[in-house]
Amino acid sequence: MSAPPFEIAPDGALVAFLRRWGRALAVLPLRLCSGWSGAVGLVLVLVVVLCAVAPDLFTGQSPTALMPKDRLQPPSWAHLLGTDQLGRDLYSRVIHGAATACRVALTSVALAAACGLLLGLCAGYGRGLLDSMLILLCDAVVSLPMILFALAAVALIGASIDGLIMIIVIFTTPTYFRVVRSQVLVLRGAEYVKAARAMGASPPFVMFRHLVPNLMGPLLVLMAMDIPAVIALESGLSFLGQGVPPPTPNWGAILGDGYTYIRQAPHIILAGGLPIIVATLGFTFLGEAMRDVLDPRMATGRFGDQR
Amino acid sequence: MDAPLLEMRRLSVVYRTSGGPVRAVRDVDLTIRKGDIVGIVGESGSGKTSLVSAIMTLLPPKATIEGQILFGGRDLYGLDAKQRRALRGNGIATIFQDPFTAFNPVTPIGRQLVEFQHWRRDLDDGARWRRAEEMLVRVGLGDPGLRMHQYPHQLSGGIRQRIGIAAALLTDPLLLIADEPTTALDATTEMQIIELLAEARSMVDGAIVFVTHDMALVGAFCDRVAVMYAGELVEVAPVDPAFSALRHPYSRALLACDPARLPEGCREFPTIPGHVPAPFARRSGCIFEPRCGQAAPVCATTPPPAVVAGDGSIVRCHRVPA
Amino acid sequence: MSLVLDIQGLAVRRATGGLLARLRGTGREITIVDGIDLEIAAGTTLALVGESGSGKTTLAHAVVGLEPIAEGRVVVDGLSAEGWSQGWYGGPWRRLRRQIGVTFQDAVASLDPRMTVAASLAAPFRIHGLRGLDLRAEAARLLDQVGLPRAFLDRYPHQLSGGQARRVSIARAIALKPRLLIADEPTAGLDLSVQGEVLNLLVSLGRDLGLACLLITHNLPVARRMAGRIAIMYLGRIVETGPAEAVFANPRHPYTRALVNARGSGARALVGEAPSLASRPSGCEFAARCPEAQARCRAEAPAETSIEAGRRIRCHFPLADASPSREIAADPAAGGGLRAAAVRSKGANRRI
Repeated sequence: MSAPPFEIAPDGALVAFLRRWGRALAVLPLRLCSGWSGAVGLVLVLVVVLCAVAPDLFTGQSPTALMPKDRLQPPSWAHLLGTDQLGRDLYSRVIHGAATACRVALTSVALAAACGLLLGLCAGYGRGLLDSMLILLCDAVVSLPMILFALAAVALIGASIDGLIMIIVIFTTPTYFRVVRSQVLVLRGAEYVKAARAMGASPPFVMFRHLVPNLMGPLLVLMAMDIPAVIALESGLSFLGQGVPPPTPNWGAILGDGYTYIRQAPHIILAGGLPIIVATLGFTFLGEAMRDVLDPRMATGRFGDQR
Repeated sequence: MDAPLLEMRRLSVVYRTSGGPVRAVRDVDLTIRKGDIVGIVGESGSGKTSLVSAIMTLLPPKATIEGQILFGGRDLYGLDAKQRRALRGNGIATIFQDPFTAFNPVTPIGRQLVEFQHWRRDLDDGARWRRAEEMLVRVGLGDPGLRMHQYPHQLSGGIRQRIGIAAALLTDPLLLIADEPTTALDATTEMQIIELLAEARSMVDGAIVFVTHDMALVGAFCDRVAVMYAGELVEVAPVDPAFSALRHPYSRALLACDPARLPEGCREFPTIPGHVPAPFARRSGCIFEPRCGQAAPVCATTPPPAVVAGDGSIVRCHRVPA
Repeated sequence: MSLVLDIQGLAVRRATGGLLARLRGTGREITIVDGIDLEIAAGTTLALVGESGSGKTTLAHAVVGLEPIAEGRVVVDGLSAEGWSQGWYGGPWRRLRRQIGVTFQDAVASLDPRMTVAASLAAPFRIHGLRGLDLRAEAARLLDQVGLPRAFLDRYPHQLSGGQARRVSIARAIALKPRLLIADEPTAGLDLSVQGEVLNLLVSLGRDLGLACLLITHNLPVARRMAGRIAIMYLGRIVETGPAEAVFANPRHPYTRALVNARGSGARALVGEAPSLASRPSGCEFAARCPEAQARCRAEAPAETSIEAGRRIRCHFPLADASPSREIAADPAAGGGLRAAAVRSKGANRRI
């Protein structure tokens, strides 16, 4: 019987926190690999992350070195994916682009989830005026057309990675907010929450000791499923020319270039599109596997062992 | 003597689980004749729910039957699906535990009651409607015309259960199964429903099976009681107000636990120490032996024989003299 | 004798209708509980008996500040609180809650599914900021007190049976040595053969710790044996209060008589059902079902009056002080009235 991944020990809050999440992270990959899609997702995601943190393992060439004499070369042994219009090696651009994609996607998803968690907790637990105002705000943000807003923002403050992250965070927080809020509304009526309040627990105690641990599952799944969407979003903005500024290697930008040179050098589109597909597929599979692993436990609170 | 209405011969219900086959019901022999009112009493884990589902032929797909259930002489599980379905609306009627979910929430009561009579092909809708209204009056609802047009959520639990009884009786059943019909109701409403069921026996040209965990209700309503423990039928006996005919140690211990039957001045509540054995942890010998106050060495090693008395009562115990 | 719990004129109301209705002024308030006066002396047990919809759970929640109190107040061991728990730390409610331990109807659900038993037992200490204690040792001590083995410290709620979960919740309730224990339906969902374990535990804890107990139940025989005093609730009001034995032997309110005799002999079932809270009848709310109702009952709502020392009743025409009605326990013919009905309708049925 394997140990359940979550536990609060009655001593040392920080130690307990680390122990809890450490065990969870260790046990999770094994459970995820029980289905083929989970295993495939895990492998793809690991490849992408590895490309992001250690690009030199995969390629020796520089992504920014200009070699105008070799521009628009089709794939060959020297350049596995060919070169673009400025003579840069596409393969190394793709590998280095993973770092950009991961940085933007993971940062913005984590920030959006954190904001959504805090706001959702306050809205769901407090209810009343605060709740109504936050819902109004959330609806207002959701109704804004994101791409247009992003373009306008870039026009005002100029293109930058941090600006891009901020825009993505603003537009994806409402989803997390809604999910957390509706879960909090449900959990608020749970007997154990009432028991804690009857004992005199203050709202922060209830929120962080009782509600957050029970929310983490759906939240993690949402985050995993959101990453491919954010990658696609970032690529889309870069394709339009308003995303990550050059010369930072960026999948969307490569795709944009490929669109321009589609007649002379169709291989560029392949170079741009393939990594997006791989990353999206990998994170989607991983997210679904995580949902299967975590969600039934959320619903019943069972960890596989019967009474 | 004509054939018994319902006969269970060495009936077992086996569930397929990831941990292996689990026997929720083991080797039950029970005979019910026309005119009987039999109470099946058991606590959680006794298997009474599985037994009743088996009789209604509504077991989940991962459950199988061993042994036989004969209804009017015909093997229930030898029939094909169509014949079994015909029986369910027609020969066997059920009153369910939860009056809140037994009805379709989006259809008025009247339409549902008319639909329950769809086996009566000799009647048209108008006749079925009138018959339903008459039945509502007989179960004690004053204004049937109003009720027929109401939706389930507009009615309270007691009234819904009355309508549930009406629906069951409308099918002219040969066998009426009441599956914990008052568990979800208050004490005062429960009394009304029990009185109604007592009157209803004159309307049932067959037998009634009353499943409950409450021995006192069985005492109020049934002729015979069948006591189940951990999947086995440990006793079948006639019912009298003092339950003097019950002899199995579990039956007597269960009776003693009823707070309403405690003698004066008794300050401690009696319990049966220990817990029901898990289905996959069965041992040889008597199933109740670990918790039995009268266990003898033979009880742990050999399964007790079924001692059958002249009036049809059965006790499975080594310690009860034949 | 000092009072551990003194409820004075408590009322709990809830607004119905959404925001717009309230703004328009058409939102209504339904009264869930009204005019409650209850006292519990130190070390004694009061049973609060009523059927579903009588408001007994709402009353218990209001006593610990989980429900907003519209009128009246709650005094626990001299600490008084009104309104309800608002604000970040709850003011007077926080002190008051240390003196009250609560167990809930669904014991397994009242334990956080993500916390081990040890963590759940340590929670009261954490909430009240009691540091410097070996919390695991305290949790072990509490388990000993309720008769569970120490191995349970590392179990999760879903690994406990109903009876074990209930004992854990009792352990948690007594962790800070409160003066009052509120037990909401302690036997709900438990098999008859294990109910005794929990009830015996409550009795022994009351005796050993000098705990006063507010026992909420719909099970009359249990209430009778466990409580010194009993209060009967109907539709949010207390209709009769008095010593348990006296109320059982000699009920003075027609509703109490109906409850006491529900499974006894000579019983007549009450007609109809309790009206809904949204449409409370004027006058006495029990009049529609009362076999003794008269014109005055439908016109005028009765106030709570004292008919003897220690007995209060809410009725215009209390039943006469009759000789003890047939007691359920002493009468082996429990269910005789229903039995008679069964015998009548049997006719010529064959007996096997």
